[in-house]
Amino acid sequence: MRLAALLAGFATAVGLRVLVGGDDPAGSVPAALLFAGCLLVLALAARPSVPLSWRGLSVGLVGIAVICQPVLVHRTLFDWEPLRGATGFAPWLAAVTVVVAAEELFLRGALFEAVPRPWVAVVLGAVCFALLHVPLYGWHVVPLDLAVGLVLGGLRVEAGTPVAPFVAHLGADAVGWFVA
Amino acid sequence: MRAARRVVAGVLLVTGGLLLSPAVVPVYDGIGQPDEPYRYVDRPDGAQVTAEPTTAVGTSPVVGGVAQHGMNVATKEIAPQFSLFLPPRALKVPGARAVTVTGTPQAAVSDPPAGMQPDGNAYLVAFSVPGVTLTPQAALATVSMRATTAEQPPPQIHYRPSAAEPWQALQTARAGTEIYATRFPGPGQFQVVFAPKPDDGSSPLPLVLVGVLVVAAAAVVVIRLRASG
Repeated sequence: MRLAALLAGFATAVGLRVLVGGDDPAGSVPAALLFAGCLLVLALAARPSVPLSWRGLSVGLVGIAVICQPVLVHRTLFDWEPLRGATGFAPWLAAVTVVVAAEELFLRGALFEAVPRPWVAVVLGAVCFALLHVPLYGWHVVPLDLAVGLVLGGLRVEAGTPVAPFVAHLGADAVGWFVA
Repeated sequence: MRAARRVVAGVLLVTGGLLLSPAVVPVYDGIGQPDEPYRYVDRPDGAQVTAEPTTAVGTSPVVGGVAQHGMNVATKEIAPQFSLFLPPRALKVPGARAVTVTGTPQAAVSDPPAGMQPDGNAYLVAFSVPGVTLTPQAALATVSMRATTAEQPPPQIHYRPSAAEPWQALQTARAGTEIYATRFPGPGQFQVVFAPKPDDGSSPLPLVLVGVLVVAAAAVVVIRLRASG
């Protein structure tokens, strides 16, 4: 019942984001913040446990390397381009931090704890993570986002806290600013 | 050892995902990045220092004198400053097994269409093989160019086959905030241009009308105050 309610809330949050985002749901910061707000409300209502630990931080840092390494290698070998400048980075990162925190609190916090078996929780979280990006970027993003979602779920299991996938997710996004 | 295996498994997983998701921007939160500042070939005073603008490049095999693949080539800025879409079989290519198309940034032209203000770089579209012509399939070919500003009224894309020939105004549609698109007429030079702005304040009529309205409103207020007093 709790799982069904969380999934229904998640689908509603994605739908609202698409509605508010209009022609450009991926570029709309208000739509992203509304989406993040919905996820935060859902996550906080479920009260996931978020233990802060050095292990969570260190596993998250390793996660950044795991997620970014293939992208950086590909970029270096096949698609070299000078790194993007930092103009506009700070406000963008502020908005991204809110969205990442909401996604991780919900997917690797509340949703993860609502599923009895960790590996099912990892897969379900990854599927939700991939699907939430489809309205923004299209179906072609599913393989990459599914893979990254599985890694983020693996970090959650490894560290025992959503802090690790939060750190990895935020770090990967920040790297993405400069190399995308 | 176990941890190392897990790291390797994670890297392989993401690598597999990346290989199956070509051309995906690796940002996983879903907030689009704002456009980077326009990259000029010849940076005007006051414009931000940026990396060099990039060249759009694409190649297609040629079979039976016709380019077989569609080509969607774009420069690498965010958003691309120039892109060109050529459908499959849009080019007749004599005597070659492959053809490469390039869209190269150049400094804004010094001889713009009469009365127009060039905006951003010019882009020179060229083929690697001489004598390339367009087939009827090229009717769907499209050029998109990014202006340096979203100011309206919108700019137009102008084209000339070579610097020695006159400019042609192309029917231009807005395709994004400051992205404009037009048909692809052939290789040559493309430039976004703005018409000069009308001279603001050339007519005092609006100010006179506002003044009359203010005086009339003040008169009404005074009359009503006196009547009530």
